[in-house]
Amino acid sequence: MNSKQGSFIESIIIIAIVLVLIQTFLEDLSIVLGWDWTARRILLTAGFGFDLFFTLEFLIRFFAAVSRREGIEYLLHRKGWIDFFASLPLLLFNSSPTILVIYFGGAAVTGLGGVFNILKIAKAVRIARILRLLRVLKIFKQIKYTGSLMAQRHISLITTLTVTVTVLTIFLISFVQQTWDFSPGVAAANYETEKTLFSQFDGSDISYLKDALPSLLIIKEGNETIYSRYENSYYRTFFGPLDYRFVRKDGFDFFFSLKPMMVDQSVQSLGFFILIVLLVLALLLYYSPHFAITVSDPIHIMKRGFEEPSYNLEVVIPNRYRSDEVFKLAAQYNEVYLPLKERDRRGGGRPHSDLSIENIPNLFKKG
Amino acid sequence: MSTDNQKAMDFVRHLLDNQALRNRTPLQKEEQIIAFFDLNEQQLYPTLGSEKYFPGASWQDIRTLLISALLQITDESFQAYLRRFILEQLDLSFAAFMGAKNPPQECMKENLLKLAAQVAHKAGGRYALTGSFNALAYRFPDKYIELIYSDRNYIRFELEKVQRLRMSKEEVKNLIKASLLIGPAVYVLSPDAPGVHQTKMRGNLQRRAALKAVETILERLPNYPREIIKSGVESNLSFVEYPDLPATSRMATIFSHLAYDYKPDIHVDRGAASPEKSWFNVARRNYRYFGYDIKMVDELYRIAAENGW
Repeated sequence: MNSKQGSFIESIIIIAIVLVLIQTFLEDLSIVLGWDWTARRILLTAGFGFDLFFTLEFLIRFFAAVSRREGIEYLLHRKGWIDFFASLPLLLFNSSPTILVIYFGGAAVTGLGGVFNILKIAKAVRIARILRLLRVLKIFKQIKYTGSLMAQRHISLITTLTVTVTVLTIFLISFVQQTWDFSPGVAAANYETEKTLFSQFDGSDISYLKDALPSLLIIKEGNETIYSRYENSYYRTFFGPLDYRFVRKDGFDFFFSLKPMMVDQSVQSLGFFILIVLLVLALLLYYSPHFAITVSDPIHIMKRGFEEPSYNLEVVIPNRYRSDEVFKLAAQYNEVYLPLKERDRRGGGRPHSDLSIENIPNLFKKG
Repeated sequence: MSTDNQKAMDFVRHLLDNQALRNRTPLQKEEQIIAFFDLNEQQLYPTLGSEKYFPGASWQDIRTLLISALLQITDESFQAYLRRFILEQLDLSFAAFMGAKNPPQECMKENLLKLAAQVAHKAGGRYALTGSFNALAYRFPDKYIELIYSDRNYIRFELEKVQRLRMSKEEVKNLIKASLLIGPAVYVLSPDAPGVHQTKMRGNLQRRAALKAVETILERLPNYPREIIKSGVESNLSFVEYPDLPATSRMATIFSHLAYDYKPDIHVDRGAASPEKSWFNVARRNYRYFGYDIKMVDELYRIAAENGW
């Protein structure tokens, strides 16, 4: 493929990436705003088209790399793994089942010889949708931040780590929710419903409240408890002062449990907590060593070489990072500075000593 | 011993005990401490010139006193090492392969020891001997020749085919060790040799001076075949100027330069090349300047790199 053709294909891919991001955003927005089914079906079909396109792109790139014996290099070091996760799983677990259901009905899916279970597929579809966010990284690959390949790599690496960890955390949380059938926000929705029902209460009939309001714990009239959902010992054991709220209405005292709301909030907090922990771990375990190897270590070695007359160790220049500014500087240090330093030292240059007044304890103690 | 001398000895011993000089050879310590005096005159003189130390003495007087004490202490360990090395470890049996008939080893060793001691007592010779002494102390000929002989590359070819050393690798090691010890004698015994300030590096001698030096040294080492003396003396010539130098001379030059400032306990920072690999890579770029045989340096660089030295 000549460079003109390559450039044309890259342009097509960039346009497709921009379009797919718009499509992904609109697909979710259509659900939130309650668009009609025709519009949503068009968006879902377009999503299938994009998934197919990116899967083909991945397969072509991958097999081209394999034919050059660079398959592992492509997957691990040229972000082929992003191309993979943002294409094939989406096609298999998201858009293909969706298209089958839309155009051939649920029977088409269940009729796949029991290979798939419709419920599992539905869950997988919902979870796999999150992987679409990885496509953001595909567009990052195309952006040239500066003329510096080193800066591009560092920014790209931080972005990749951040987005990947965020997406995978959301994926993990969604998986947990799907597995244990827990939906955050349900408690908040129930609370709003209960609030409406309770506002309609006029004091005439309290018996229906205990069934209509699951968070209702106790009803009192004066000092007399006329309804309690649990035994007093249960409240003592499981409820603290922050776990309920109190409302007085029409001569009755109502105690409501705040626990469902709190659980809901806690799950969200836990999600954010896990996200932050994983982000920090990813940056610490993956990015920090990369930064040390490619930036701070070579600078430290060169600094010592400049400062210490007898320090003459070279900087090791990894082939992969040879074009980084830091390693270009290190090459100059190795090839020009150190040889000149050696000539100066051997040729009777300024004397040097590894001893210094500061590092000799009690210098004048003896004598 | 005068009180001043005792004070100077104590002061110098305190410096010699410093951790920064741990694991260095006596001559390296000596050079480090002399440099320390010269670099810190401004801070040292106010106290050393006070009542407690050497009242009324000039800095020059104090420096002379301290250096005299330093040489005295260094000499003890240096001469002891040299004696032990030459008499007990060095094997001069290779002389038989170079034309000596029934070489009297004991006598040859005594003569070599005398020569080395004489060289060490002259300032220029002492500097020139530092690299050689360190190369022996850090056993560079042993460890490199061992690997050079495990393969058939350039250096082995030069030793066996070009210099025609029909002897075992152990004998080649000993020839290089003897060359290392004989080489510095040039700076003491030859009137045409460069001055003290130039003697930190070999490779700046001219052949005419070298030929004279061979004759002078032969008088001091009468039982030695000329080839051995030549191998030592010509380690002071530049291979770039004189491409017919014996391979053992070229090796001796490289080992003595490598060992001159060698620190066995240097901390290799993460991302830095190992010390000997670094040194050889720098030497590859400086080969013309220092008169090294570039092919030899390349091979030694490869050995150092492969062994993480």
